[in-house]
Amino acid sequence: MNRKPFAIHALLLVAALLISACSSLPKIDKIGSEAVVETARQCDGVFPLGKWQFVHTIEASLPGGRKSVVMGISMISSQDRQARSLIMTVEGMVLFDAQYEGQLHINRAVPPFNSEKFAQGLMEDIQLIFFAPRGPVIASGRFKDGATVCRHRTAAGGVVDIVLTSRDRWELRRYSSRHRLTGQVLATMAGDVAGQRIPRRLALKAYATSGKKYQLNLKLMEAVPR
Amino acid sequence: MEKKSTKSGVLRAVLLAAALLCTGWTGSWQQIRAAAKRVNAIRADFIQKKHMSILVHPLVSTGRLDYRAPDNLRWEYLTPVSSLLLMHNGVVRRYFRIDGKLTQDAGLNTQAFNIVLQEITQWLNGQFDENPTFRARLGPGSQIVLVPRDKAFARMILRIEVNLARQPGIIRSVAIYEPGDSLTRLEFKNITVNHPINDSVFRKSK
Repeated sequence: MNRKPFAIHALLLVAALLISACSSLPKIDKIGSEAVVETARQCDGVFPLGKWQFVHTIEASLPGGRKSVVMGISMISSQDRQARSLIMTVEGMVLFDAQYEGQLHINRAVPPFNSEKFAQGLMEDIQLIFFAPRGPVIASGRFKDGATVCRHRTAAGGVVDIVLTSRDRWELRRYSSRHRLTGQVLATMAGDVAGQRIPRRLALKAYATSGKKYQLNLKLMEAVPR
Repeated sequence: MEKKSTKSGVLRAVLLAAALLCTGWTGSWQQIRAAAKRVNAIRADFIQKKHMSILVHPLVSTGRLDYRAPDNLRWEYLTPVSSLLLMHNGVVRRYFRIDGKLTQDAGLNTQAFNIVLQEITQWLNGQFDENPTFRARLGPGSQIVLVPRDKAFARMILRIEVNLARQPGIIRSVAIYEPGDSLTRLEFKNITVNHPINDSVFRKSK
């Protein structure tokens, strides 16, 4: 008597698991071969070239509606994909200092920033924001809403979409190998700094399987070529 | 002849008075404590410079502080980030201005600066020695050097140099040395002493 509902529940569960395991990526409408070249140029243009130092105020929105503000200093070199990141209190106390030069090296980390997982995640976020994806372009074109998109396969088998929503705004969307959205960066441009277009504001959203995990709002204070 | 000796006597007295004004309150812990006892309230602006060799140039913040003896402190950053640290009857709370509203800090930041803040209150009370957190010594040039007693805390702060002003009971600047090559320098200016400060200054406003 109870077998039928149990079977339905089991089927629903399996279906839900299958759906979550194989989420599909947003569809890209193809464009002509000439437009593909121009689109690739535009997508590459969102990442700063050369050596830079950025200072941001970082507003963190945490689960439960809690908020905090810290300062972030990022030093990047696009050519060798090296980055150094510092997090400090507004009073100037350094809470976290790590660099990535082929491998992660933590110079300083105090609680609650003293886990390897945090350092790894932060460096991944910095690489996502400042460096063009390493993997090949697997598709480019337009989304249904007209936004221009370049889709890259990542080394880990995931996907990164560079989405140019308007002249002053762009987005990065990071998907897992199962095509689940794991991170999103929304950028608003500041205009030119040393001939390059630098985002004035960045919103970094990280998603867990259960929903949004945290959000960081970065406001540019300073961008200096090094 | 008599005129000459009177002149030189006056000159000597002026020089002595000047010397007393310059060094008169920073020679011993007792003198420092006595001078601080005569200061009930301080209001000052400050400029903070964060130096690190990796920075193209130092990070500069500005703010102001209000202090009322014995343990009320308002430490407010105005630029580039608006934030507020309030110590009212010894209890420290931290706020940030987010979207125009003062929001209490979620506590991501460590307690290190809160300790420094509590220390500053102690210093303004003239209590540098007999400190459980720092070992203090009086250096030359009206400088006090504080070194953490606890090894774990020394991983956050190597030492603090407090430079005393000519005006009795007043701190001119503070330098906080962190491991590596990190240095935070605070300089106080527009200092006013012993004016009445309302209780509300040490409470959160809108």
